[in-house]
Amino acid sequence: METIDVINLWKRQNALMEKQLVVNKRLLNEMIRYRTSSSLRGVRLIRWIGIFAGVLWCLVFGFIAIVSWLEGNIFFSASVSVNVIVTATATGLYIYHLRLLDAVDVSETIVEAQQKLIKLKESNLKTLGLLWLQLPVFSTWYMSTEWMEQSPLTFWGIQVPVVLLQAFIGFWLYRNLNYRNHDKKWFRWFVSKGEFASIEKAITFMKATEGEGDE
Amino acid sequence: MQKEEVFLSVIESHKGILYKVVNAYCKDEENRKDLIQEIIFQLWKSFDRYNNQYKYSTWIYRIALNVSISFYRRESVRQPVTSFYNEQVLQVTEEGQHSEKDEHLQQLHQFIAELRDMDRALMLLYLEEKSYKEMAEITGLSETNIGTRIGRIKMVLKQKFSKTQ
Repeated sequence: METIDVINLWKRQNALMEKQLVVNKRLLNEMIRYRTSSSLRGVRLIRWIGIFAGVLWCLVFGFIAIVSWLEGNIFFSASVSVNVIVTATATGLYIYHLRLLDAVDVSETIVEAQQKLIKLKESNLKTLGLLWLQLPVFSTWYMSTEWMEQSPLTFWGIQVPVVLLQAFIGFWLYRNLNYRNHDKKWFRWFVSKGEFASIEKAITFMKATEGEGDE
Repeated sequence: MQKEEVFLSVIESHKGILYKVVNAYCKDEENRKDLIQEIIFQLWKSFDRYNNQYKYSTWIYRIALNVSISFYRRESVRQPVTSFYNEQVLQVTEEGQHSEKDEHLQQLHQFIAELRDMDRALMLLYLEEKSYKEMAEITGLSETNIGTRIGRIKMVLKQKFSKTQ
């Protein structure tokens, strides 16, 4: 079968389709009058909830961190401070996501629009990596100098190694939750849920678009 | 003429584009209904910003393909958005549903479905006999790149059809 035959086949299908395809005008009218949200609404809503919760969290725990610094509770205040700094940065990234979402225009060319959507996914991944950085603070906030002095064996033998392990895991994930690892099994398992689930396909799409360039 | 009426007439005269794009990117019947609603919603949202420097077909192709490519990647189950969810915006008449499908046409649809996202878009545009310039306006790829890709797709298509004959 030659190319011209394929095109003629397609044309015949088009001619038939013109006769057989009917637009349900009533439903179309309903849709343009009453539908108010697109599929990106959910993504936007998650960001707004995140920003609201992030700001509230930073205010409350920022205050707690200041009070505990004044009281000289070093481990607790340092842990809370790290948590507040990471949360504030993640909240800032969520605000940036809203700007990225505003910039998405599906009437642009496929390459332009898809690049913007992928930028959003990339930033989302970076935010996830950043949040992992604070992993050790969940084990440091209850540490104290009294514990260090009274039970050095459990403090240095158990607690400190646990914190170091968490710090290593947190930092490793922060560095490695990156697109360059998309072909690794652990990465696929890690990002197989929610908004991250489509990352692999997004990467394949952009590679297919960019990788071949202008041949 | 009211904005709604103009929009409806644009959709009416380009219904084939929507039907073909949705069928090329979405296999599941229920998801197709959802996808077509999303495309029409995005077309309506962008209607005020329509740039008459381009043809309506170029504008529709851009939005339909962009939404389909993103939709296809999400693979999420979404809630129905209208009370008439069991109905479809684009309906094939009973006569069309029962007509026998050409074997070659089925092969062609199968071939299109197996292509990667961007190549699938190019194949649809090629079959519609769009110029490379128009394809570039829709996809954002350069005309040279489009030429190379189309050449490669045609070669695979030819091999595919020659195998089955």
